[in-house]
Amino acid sequence: MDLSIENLKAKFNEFGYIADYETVVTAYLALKMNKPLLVEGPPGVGKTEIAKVLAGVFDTELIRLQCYEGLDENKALYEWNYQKQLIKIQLSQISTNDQCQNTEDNLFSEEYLLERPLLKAIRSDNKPVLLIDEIDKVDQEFEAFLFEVLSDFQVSIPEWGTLKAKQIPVVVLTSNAERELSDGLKRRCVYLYLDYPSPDKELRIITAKVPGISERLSMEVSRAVSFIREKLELRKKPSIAETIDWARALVSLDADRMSPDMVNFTLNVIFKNKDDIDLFRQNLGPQELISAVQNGGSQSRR
Amino acid sequence: MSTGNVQNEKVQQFVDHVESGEQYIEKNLTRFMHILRHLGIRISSAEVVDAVKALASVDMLDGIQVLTAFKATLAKSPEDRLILEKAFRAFFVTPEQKAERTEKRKEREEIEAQEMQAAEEEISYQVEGPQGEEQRDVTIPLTDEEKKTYSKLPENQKKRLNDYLNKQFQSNSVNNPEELITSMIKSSLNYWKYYLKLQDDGPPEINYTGEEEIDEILQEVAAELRDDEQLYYKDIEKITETDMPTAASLIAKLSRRLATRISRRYHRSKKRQRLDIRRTIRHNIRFGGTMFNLKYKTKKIEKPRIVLICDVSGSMAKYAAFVLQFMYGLSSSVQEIESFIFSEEIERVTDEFKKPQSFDITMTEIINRSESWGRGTDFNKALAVITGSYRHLLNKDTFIIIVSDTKTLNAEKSGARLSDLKKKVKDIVWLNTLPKKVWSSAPTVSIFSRHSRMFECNTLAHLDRIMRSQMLK
Repeated sequence: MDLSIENLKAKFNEFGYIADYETVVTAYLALKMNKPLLVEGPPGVGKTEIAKVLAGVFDTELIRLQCYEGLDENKALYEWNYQKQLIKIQLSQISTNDQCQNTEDNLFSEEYLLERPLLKAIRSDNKPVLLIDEIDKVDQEFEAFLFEVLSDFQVSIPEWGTLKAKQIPVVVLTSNAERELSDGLKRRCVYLYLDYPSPDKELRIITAKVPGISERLSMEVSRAVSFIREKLELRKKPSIAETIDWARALVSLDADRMSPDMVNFTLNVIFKNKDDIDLFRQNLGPQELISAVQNGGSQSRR
Repeated sequence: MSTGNVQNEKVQQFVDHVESGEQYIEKNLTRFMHILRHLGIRISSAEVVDAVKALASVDMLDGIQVLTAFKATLAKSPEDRLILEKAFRAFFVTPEQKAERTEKRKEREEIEAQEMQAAEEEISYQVEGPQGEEQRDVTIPLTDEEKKTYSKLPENQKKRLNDYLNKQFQSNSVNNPEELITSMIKSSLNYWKYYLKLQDDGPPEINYTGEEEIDEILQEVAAELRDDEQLYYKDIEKITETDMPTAASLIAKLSRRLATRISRRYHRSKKRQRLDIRRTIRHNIRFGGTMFNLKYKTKKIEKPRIVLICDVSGSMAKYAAFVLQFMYGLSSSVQEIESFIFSEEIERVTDEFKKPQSFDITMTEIINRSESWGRGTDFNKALAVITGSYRHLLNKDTFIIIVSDTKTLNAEKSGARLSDLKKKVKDIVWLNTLPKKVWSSAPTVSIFSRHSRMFECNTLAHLDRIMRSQMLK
């Protein structure tokens, strides 16, 4: 693909990712400058999706490293297959077969290497997309190790020496900003902050993702969700995925417009917390939500 | 030619352009970086190079693309992005807009000069010369800053000061009172300077550069931030009831982050797992004793115990809503937390916060039950109870958070107790609601800051900054 902002935008659209101009330009810059793209934002705004779409755009493999507390190099980079090595040693002791000789040389060969996502991305022949998801969940030591890998795209395996990336992968890191990431890591990345979408953008997303939805219903859903996010101090604001689920639920109930009953039946789809449901009932309620939506919904966004 | 080469060529062209002497873009770019740094965004040289490379990759005539290139390479948080956006809009303006801004600044300066002139004239008094000589006007020698303070005073205060001058000292020929008057006026203005400063809400103080053109931009951005993010930078005591729900949700979010941050930093990260020999042998008997499957000891994540001690005495009354929201926010996100409130006595309120009920009900229950609200402060007594009756809570995994303005009886004794307490626990963090600018004049601050890590915390921006910076080491 000829890399340009317009082409990238068109490709994002083609893969069903409704992105605003800033998102496209930032992704373009990361690709152009060969730098990792760090995407921060609340849960459910489409951070991970960017990596998936980029893999689609470049028709390449998506390699995913899901981060969690306690993740270490063994799980992220490589590990020797200890059990297989042990069997080999046992076999070499009892067998006279030539193949089982020279065990020591063979024990650290390709056959016994368990490749984890980072190594896989470095050794890949085609430029892959490496998604390092929820980077804010790892320990600081691992973060430091990671930014070394990301700056040089090479790793050292003592038995083999240094391995340099055949192709520098497209790296996408995502973070829910639960923890402040180190300056070192941030400095090595191109930064993008994804916030909840505007009602217009969400309307386009619903239309693209929920087949068979009426124009009126999709507009009402997008306005309602935006209104809820803005007016209620919820523990967990509805994500884009929940908006889509809500629209799908309403379509499944054959609704072509919102009604208080429909909202009541489907509250559990959009709120994932009892406190939030109570807050909605106390401070807003289905009737008031619908009146607000019909009067134009939330127009002002920070 | 590869993409990398094209990019390098563009950077080279850019560098050539710099060397050619025109330097229009470069000068602007450097000045822009300078402004961003003065607005608190940390930008390294490597990031400046990245920004230049990014600019070479976008259409320089497209404002949105240029702004996005800056945001992508220089801003590293939503707050940075907001500041950068405002600085960009203030910096990259048309010559007409620039001229208009300079015009406005000049107007402001003129008004200020007039006000200072007026101040000089107003603060004068008449004194009668010796042996029946004619009365003469005496002007008090004020510094520019003092004049500025005077011009900012409310009208009634100006009038009071003048009346005082004229009534008390007019025609006083017995002793030459000039020195006395000058010192009286100066100390009064000094008090007002301090008071007005306290009243002045706003984003963290900006270091002005002294260069008029840059300072203009800094002023404009600071003023805009103040308007937009008012709640964020407002002293918590001044947050109105209407704004409270939004503030409460922000406090809850920040206190949750504080909790996560503490637990992450203090849980023991054992990267090398320990082999469980007993289980490994038992499990591998089936393989004839060959250690085929290794069994590791289960990782035990050690979350710290948090002890939260909040001051609810009279001097802290204005922060009561904040303190309660903070306690509620922390309690709902951390399991191992013990909460106390204190004034003259200390009370344990852990159970109230542990109940799964709304904030309003919790607050009503605590206020109705407790007798601590609005009384005097005896931190010494509070610490005595904590180290005595609750000593089982104190060990090397305990993290203590104190929210107080440090104003207490028996400060020295309290300091000694705090020092003892520090030896027993992991760490003590003190969130001080007293503005930092008055810390030097409050002796209790220096006593307690010796034994704890003290942070200014009277706006949501402060609380956020505590979380963001590397302070919680």
